[in-house]
Amino acid sequence: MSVLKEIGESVLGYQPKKAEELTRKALDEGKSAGEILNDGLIPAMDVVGKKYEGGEIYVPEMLMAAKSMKAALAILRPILAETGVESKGRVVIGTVEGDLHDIGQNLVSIMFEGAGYDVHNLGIDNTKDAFVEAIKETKPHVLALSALLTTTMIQMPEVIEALKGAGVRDGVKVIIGGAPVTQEYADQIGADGYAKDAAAAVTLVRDLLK
Amino acid sequence: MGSFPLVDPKPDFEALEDVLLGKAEPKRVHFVEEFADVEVIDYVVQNMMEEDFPSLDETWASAGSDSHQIAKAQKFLAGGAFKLIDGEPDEIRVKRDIAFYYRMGFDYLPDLAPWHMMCAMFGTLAASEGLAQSFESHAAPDTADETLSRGNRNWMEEKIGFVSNWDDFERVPWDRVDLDMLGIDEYYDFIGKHLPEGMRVTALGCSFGPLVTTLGFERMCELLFEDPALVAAVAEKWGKLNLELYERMLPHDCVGFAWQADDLGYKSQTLLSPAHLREYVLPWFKRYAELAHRHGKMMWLHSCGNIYAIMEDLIEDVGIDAQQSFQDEILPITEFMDTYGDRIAGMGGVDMDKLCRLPEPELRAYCRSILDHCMPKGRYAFGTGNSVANYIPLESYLTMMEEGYRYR
Repeated sequence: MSVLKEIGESVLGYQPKKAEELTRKALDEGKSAGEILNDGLIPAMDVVGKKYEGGEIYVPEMLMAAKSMKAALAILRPILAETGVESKGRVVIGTVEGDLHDIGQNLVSIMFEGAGYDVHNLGIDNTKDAFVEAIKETKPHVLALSALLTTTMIQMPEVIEALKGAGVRDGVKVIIGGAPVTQEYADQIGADGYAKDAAAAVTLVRDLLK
Repeated sequence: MGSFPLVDPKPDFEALEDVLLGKAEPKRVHFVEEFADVEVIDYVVQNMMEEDFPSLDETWASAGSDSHQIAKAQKFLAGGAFKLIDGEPDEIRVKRDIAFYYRMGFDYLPDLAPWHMMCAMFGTLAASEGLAQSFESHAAPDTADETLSRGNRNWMEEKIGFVSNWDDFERVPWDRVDLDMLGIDEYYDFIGKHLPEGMRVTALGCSFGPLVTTLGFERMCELLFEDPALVAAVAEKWGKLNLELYERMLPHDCVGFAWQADDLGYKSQTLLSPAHLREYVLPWFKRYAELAHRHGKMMWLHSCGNIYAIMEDLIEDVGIDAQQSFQDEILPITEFMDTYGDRIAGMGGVDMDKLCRLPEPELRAYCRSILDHCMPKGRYAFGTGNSVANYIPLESYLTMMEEGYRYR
């Protein structure tokens, strides 16, 4: 089995230490960081995403696959930056103001990283101004908003209005997700898309950025 | 507003039980909730009822309130008891809660106090050993209307818990969690004396929740692969404590049923795989159900989220009699009743999002559509999709109750 396939298997086998060892081995064998990412890690995370969407694996398996992927990425990141390997796009993600729930949006963040996107995770409880500042600073292709409660979800249209007010709405695709969020709500508030789970979020962004 | 609080309530827990078990057709709409937030209880009691209770005071308001538990914990650490009824404030709290649920038309008193106190005892002991999980950094401004706001609402820590490895596990003073100290017999004697005729009280338990809190959800997910024996050990501890709690609660005549309140799912799936739940969680649920049934009492389940991958396990293996907590985005109560209503009861189902955001005419129509669909099927009781949270506009909650009360 090629070392790149072995790296993929270590992610699918939820083995962070092995993923790290094999990544070093692959670099020693002369594989580039870009190859390891694009031919080893990303295909494996694609499989993870499909399995999650298909109900074959659950949150613990996703978190362990992510841990394995992150162990490999920790080694690759500095090399990727040095060699100028481009990501598939930039994503800013965060939970809206008053909402302290982040496991859902962390899973989405993981899936975006695993799919080769450059992710800026703002964490929890972000004001609309914080999102506007992040857009101005990072110039992302996508802003992903998360909320757990109906009573915090209502911050999402406020964020969209704030982006318009700051003149940055047109340059970014806004997607939303979270327990109370629906496609209908996304349409109602003028978001560009809604994703029901972490894997669907990646598919959505791929479609939006085509 | 309208009919509530009721002037002449006629609680009838036995009638509710017969309806839920499919033994009788309902003569009226019965109401079921896991609980109402203390701010809702206090507002209704202070502003809408004639009964005279002291106003909300965080030193005694609820057995679950932080400051009340801290006061009791300090007494406990100083060598004192950790009793459910420990003076007049506790007695007033029970009487106030009974008054609220009685006048709001419930056939039972939803009561989380024994379980809360058991967890508070555990938390106090763990903290005294230096194993502390701080909730301080996980509070955000309450999104409730000012009238019902509690200021800040605490959010669950998702990453870490008390126990991260075997050293932590060994340091936890599990054996010092002494349920005898809670004074459970005395508690139910008091409740039994003050419950109106026809009313009962819940015996509520929760074992998966404390497992998750003890390990931290994300850490637990890792441990399931890195050290499953540790997960098993903690699950065993909490499963057993919860069983012991039920063993003390269920024999009391005033206790109407067992209620296992454990969130096993989220929007799209169960929180753990069905295989993991079958290994660490469901066998305990089965023991609780068996115990309840041996006492001639029902076993209700409250679980949020998409638990339909294990619904057959819950019905056929665990033996639950009724399910509460429904979200329209996952499976509306109407569809649940179509699918499972011939085997277990469904309770509640008025979606929290709709309760929070629908204008009155649409909310009334929505409530009526649920009642029109579910009442004729039997084995159904009406209520919110989760609980009477303080962030639901009170008018909307009362509108929902009015629709249920007037329904014929």
